[in-house]
Parts: sequence; C-alpha cells; structure tokens
Amino acid sequence: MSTLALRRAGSPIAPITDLARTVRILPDRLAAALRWPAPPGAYRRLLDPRADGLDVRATIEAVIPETEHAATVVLRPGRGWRPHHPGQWASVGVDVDGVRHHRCYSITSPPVDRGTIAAGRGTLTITVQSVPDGKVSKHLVHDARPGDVVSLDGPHGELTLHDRTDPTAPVLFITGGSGITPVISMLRAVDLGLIDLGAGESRHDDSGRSDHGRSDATDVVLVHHAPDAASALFSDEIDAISRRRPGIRRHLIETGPGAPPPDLALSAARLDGLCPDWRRRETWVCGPRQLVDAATEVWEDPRHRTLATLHVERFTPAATPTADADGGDVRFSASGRLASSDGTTTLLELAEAEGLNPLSGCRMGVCRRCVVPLRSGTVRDLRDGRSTCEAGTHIQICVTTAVGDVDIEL
Amino acid sequence: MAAVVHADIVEAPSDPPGPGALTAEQVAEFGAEMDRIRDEVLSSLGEADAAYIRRVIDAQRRLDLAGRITLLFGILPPAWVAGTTMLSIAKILENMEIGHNVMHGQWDWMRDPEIHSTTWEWDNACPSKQWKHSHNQVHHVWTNVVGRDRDVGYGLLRISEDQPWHPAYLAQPVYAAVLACLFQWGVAMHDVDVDGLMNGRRDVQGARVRFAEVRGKARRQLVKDYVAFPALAGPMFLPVLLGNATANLARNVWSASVIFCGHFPGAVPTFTPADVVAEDRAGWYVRQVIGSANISGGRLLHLMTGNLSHQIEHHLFPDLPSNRYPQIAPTVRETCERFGLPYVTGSFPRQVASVAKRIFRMALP
Repeated sequence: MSTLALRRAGSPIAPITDLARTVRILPDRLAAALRWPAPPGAYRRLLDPRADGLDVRATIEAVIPETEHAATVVLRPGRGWRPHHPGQWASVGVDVDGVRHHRCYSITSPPVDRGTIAAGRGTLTITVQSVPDGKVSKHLVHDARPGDVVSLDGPHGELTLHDRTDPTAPVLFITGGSGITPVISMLRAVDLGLIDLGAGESRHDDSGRSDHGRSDATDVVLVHHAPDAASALFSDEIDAISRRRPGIRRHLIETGPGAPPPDLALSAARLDGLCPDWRRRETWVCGPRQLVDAATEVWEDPRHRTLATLHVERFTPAATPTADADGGDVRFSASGRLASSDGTTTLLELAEAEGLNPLSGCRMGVCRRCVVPLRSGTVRDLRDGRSTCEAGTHIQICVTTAVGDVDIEL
Repeated sequence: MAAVVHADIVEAPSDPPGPGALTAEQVAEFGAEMDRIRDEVLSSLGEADAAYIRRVIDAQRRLDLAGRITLLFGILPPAWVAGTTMLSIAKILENMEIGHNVMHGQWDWMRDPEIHSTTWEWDNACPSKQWKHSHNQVHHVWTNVVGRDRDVGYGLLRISEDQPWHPAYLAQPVYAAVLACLFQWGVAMHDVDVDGLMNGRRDVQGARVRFAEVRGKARRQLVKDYVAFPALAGPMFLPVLLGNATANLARNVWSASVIFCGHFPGAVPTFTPADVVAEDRAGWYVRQVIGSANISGGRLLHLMTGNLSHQIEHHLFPDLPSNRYPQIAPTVRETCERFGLPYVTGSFPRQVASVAKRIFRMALP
C-alpha cells in the first residue's frame, strides 16, 4: 500500500503522511470498536454528564429570576458546542415528566470564544418567559435545578448583525415581550466592545475591540413593548449600558395586560414620535406575530419611503392540539406528496394510496415497525383516541389519523 | 380492596381452551378491560419511569465497564471470575431488560433519541432491524400460530402436535442444548430464514441481503469481544478472550432458557391459521394470554429476565414499559381468572423442567 502511495504521489513524504493518518485515526477506530454497539459518548457520560454523543449537552448552572414570570437559565455546554453570534438561538431539549421537549430560545449572553468553551469554562444564558400552559417554559422558570442536564442543538438563526446591508447606517431594534432576548445579546456584545454599531463613517479598530466608556459613534434606538414596566426584561441593565454608551437609547411602550396585548400596533406616526429618523435606520424586529406584521406593513408601505433594510424574526408558538377538526391536508414531506384525509383513514393507508411504500408491519399498532416522526399538526390514535401534536414524536401511522392539517416525515 | 392471594404455580390445563372458549361478547368485554389497563398505564407514565430505565442503562454500562477492566487482570483467578460474572450480568441486562424492551418501543414515549426503538442497536449478533421484523412483527402478531410464528420451535424443534413428526426430531434434545449455547447465532440467523429457503418458501435475494447484514453485525461483535478487548490486555489476552466467550455463553444459555419458558411450558397450546382468521384486536388479546406462560419469582428474577417472567403481560402489552408489568400483573391475573382464561405460571426451575419434558416428549411421534 505504501509503495502505491509513493508512486501515486511521487513524493517520499506520502507514505509517512499515510502512516501518520492511520496513527491519528487509530484511537478513534479503537474506541468505536470497544464501545460498539453503544452510541457515542455512552461511556464518557458515566463520568461527565456534559460529554457529547449523538447530541451536545449542557448542565444548568443556575436559574436567576428576572421578573415574576421570567428567569435566566445559565447553561454550561460540554464539548461540541459552537460559539454563537449575538441574535442566534438554540433548540433546548428539556425532560419534563420524563418526556423530552425541544424549544427554541434566543441566547441572551454575549459570545464566548471557542477556546473558553473547549476548556469547559464557557457558559451561555437563555432567558425564559413562562407562558400559560407552557410545559417547558414553566418547568425552566420554576422547577429546573442546577445540575439538570439539557440537550442543545444550535446555534441557529439569521437575525444577527453579520448581515448588515449598510454597516454605516444607524440601527433600530423593535421588540416585544421576550423578543428582546436576541437583542440583549447584541447590546451586551456592543457594551463589551465585541461588536461595533457605530454609524457614520465606518471605523476600523485594529484590536477589534473598543474600550469601555470611550465616547464612540454607537447609534442604536431600541423600542421595546411589554405589558408594563415591571414585566419588561433587562430594563435596568440596558439603562446601565446606555449610561456607558450614550448612543444607545431605550423606549418602552406599555401595551397593557391581556393576550394578545391591546396596544401592539406599530405605526409610522408612533415611530415618528419616538425616533424621527427611523426611515434611514437598518431595523431588526423580533416579537409576537402582531408586532412583526405591523412593522412589515409599515416598512412595505411605499408612502413611508423607508431607506434601510428590515430584518424580522417571528416567534412560532409551541404546538397546541387542534381541537375537533376531522381530517385535513396531509403532507408527506420526505417525498413531497400531498393527500387529503377524511379523519378516519389511517395515515398508512393514505400514504399507500399516494403510491408511497412505507415500512409497516402488523397494521394493528402492535409491532411499531411503521413509526415515523411527526413534523407538524395533530394526529389521533384510533385505539384510544389519544392525540399528539409535539413535533418530532414518532407516531404509529398504521393506527393514527389526521386531526386538521398534518405534516409527517415520509 | 381485599388482597388476593395467588398460587405461585398454575399449570396449563391439559385440555386448553381454544380461541372459541369465550363467546364473542366475552371476548369483546375482555378486550375492553385490557384496553382500560393499557390506558391507565399510558396516562400515568412519567419521570419515575424515565428514571428507572436510565438507572438500569447506567448500571448496565458501569457493570460492563467494571467487568471488562477487571478481566484485564484475568490472569489472577479471582479477577477472572469476578470480571466474567460482571460482564455476563451486563450482557444479560443489555439484551433482556434494555435491548429487547427498547426495541419494542416501550420507551419511545420519552422521545430520547438514544433510548428509542428506531436507533437502539443491541449487544447481540442479530441486527436490530431484523429482530424488530422477526420478533415484533412476526412473533408478537402471530403468537403460537404454527406455520406463521417462526418462534414455534425456531424452525428446528417440534414442540407441538400440530407440527408433523419426522425422524430428525428424535435428536431434538441435543439440538435444543446446542441452540441454547449458541443462542445469539440462532437469533441472528432467524430472520435470514434458512429453514424457509430450504423449503422453497423465501426469496433468495432477500435472504442474501439479510445474511450480508448479519455478517456485518457479527464482524463488529466478534472484533469487540475477541480482538479489540483481548488486544488491550496485550500478552495476557487469553484470559480476556476466554472471559468474553464465557460471558457470551452465559448470556446465551440464560436468555434461551427464559425465552423457552415464555410459550413452551406444560400444555400451553399452539394455534392453527384457521383459529385466527376471524380474530379482532380483542381476540388477539385472548390468544396472547392462552399462548403465554409466566415465571414466578422475586424482583431480581424479573430484572434478569427483562420482565419476560411477565410473559403474559408482555404479550398483551408489548409496548408498555417493562417496569409496569409487575404492577399490572395482579389485575391481569384477576381478570383472566374471572373470564376463565388460564394464567400459567411457575418457578423458573419448574418451568424449565416442564419445557425440557415437552421437548423430549415431542421428539417422539
């Protein structure tokens, strides 16, 4: 083999690098042979709960109350976690009553470099607002304890300051409720000098950092919506940041209680009052659907002649079971087929009628050979009437029907 | 509720009730009661159950690791015995209480991708994918139906009058003993269906594909136990190799014995395809009870058998978590007795002896 490598590469180095490669991968190959058939990380986790395997894991370091209904959860990720850009989110897998649920939370901490994470010293925070009937948010705010292990997927998300269309334009953030969470990570990064949100001529700092307290050209307006001042997240901290960096200004709009809050409407007139030059500011909006829709409408209205880009991120609320709809559209997303369900035909029969040939066995719910992940929607088990709506659950398609529109991975 | 005292030994009636023993109404009523038990368990699954399986998996991995490390010093006889014992127990737990039950989807409700029927690969020469076919899909659906359930004699033994006799069966006590010693290889070849191939029932191409899968899995199993771990011990590789072989043998004999006790003791009946033509879900429940047998014993026995000591409960509810079988067993038993269905049970030695007797008896015409 080495002679062949020599001839092919035409260099005496080739067999040596070949050998080096073999030596380098040998420990991994040996570990895999010894571990088989347990999944990666199975044995390392006996000693280190944060060891990575099929997923990246983190332990909860602390849960710090923010408001009556919100708390910041400090997570210490294990190996495999990539540093985030401010504005990105992570999907956090939390076990509640023995069942794993995944929810997406913006990372509220400023970025940490790779080395710190690799050394096991990095932490990241998420700030969770508990929502009524929110299994996971309630658990994280009220029941989670230091030492609990969660699974992490991410970081993900495009709502970052990396894709500024005009790095010289001043910045406007419009947020509502926990929509402030991606923005606080950005503001903390600005405060630490990790990100430069200066307007006007673009400035380059050789060190990549600007000093704390130095008068700079940061020009950021934040318009935040919350039911009242007490439930607005991070108010004191943002005020402290804006004392250090006067270019950062915060406005709070108290929308009043209720869901949805009565005063989420955003209008050009309101923006004129708060931030007269909003039309030329590159804007990021994050919050409940009504707020994002209102902002999109304002920016798309040609009468307002907005000059800069609008970046949006909508919350997708956790799935709630569809009430009593019988049937609906069934999407088999892996194959791209569509079918229509009458609410009594099983998903397996629908898939077969569509010409798909999914793996199935007993057709009576015994052998579980037909399970496929649910992507969205609600399905009902014909045996006992139980319904499932949590995305990612493996459902037995031979004994389930669609309740409303459904998307399954088939 | 008054405590019900159940006898530890219930033999299968010599003239077992067929599926026609109950009226259609009784069958439906029995089915509804079983559905109610299933529903109660499903509604109450929670953190304690999740903690149970995680604890078992954790203990199994610690035991496995401890056994293998101890075996590295296997040149010393006490270390060899201790290491081999730990490894045997770890292998038994992995196959019985963990692997078999996870592959049934008993823990899928936790939505943990690492404890899930779609991802679990067990420490056995049989690929999980094939096991889920031959066991979950064939055996559990066609339980004890001669000609459909290939677990009736495993294509090797005659355990029922419904199977025609052949002189080759005269030596079947020997086959059974050899099968028990090499059980994982029997299980691995089960879904390849050599017997079917010889009798012209199965497609050759499919069998070839499945055989290639078995070869791939077997290679990794053999490399792990007979190359990689002995190599770690360097010059003292031999005790490690012998320890691993002994642990595999112990696991094989133990699991074969437990599994034989599930459907073959005493006069537990087999069925014909004609018996199940008109069967619905409730009828299927009835057949699971009639065709299965429990092993009575303590908690350790239940754990080491992967709760297949609750074979009846397992066959009624193959996808309910095994830690719940002991809990529902009294209700299941009381219901069976109320409907006049046999609830066969007995101690492990007794059931093993009963199976052995049946194998000897059926060797003869």
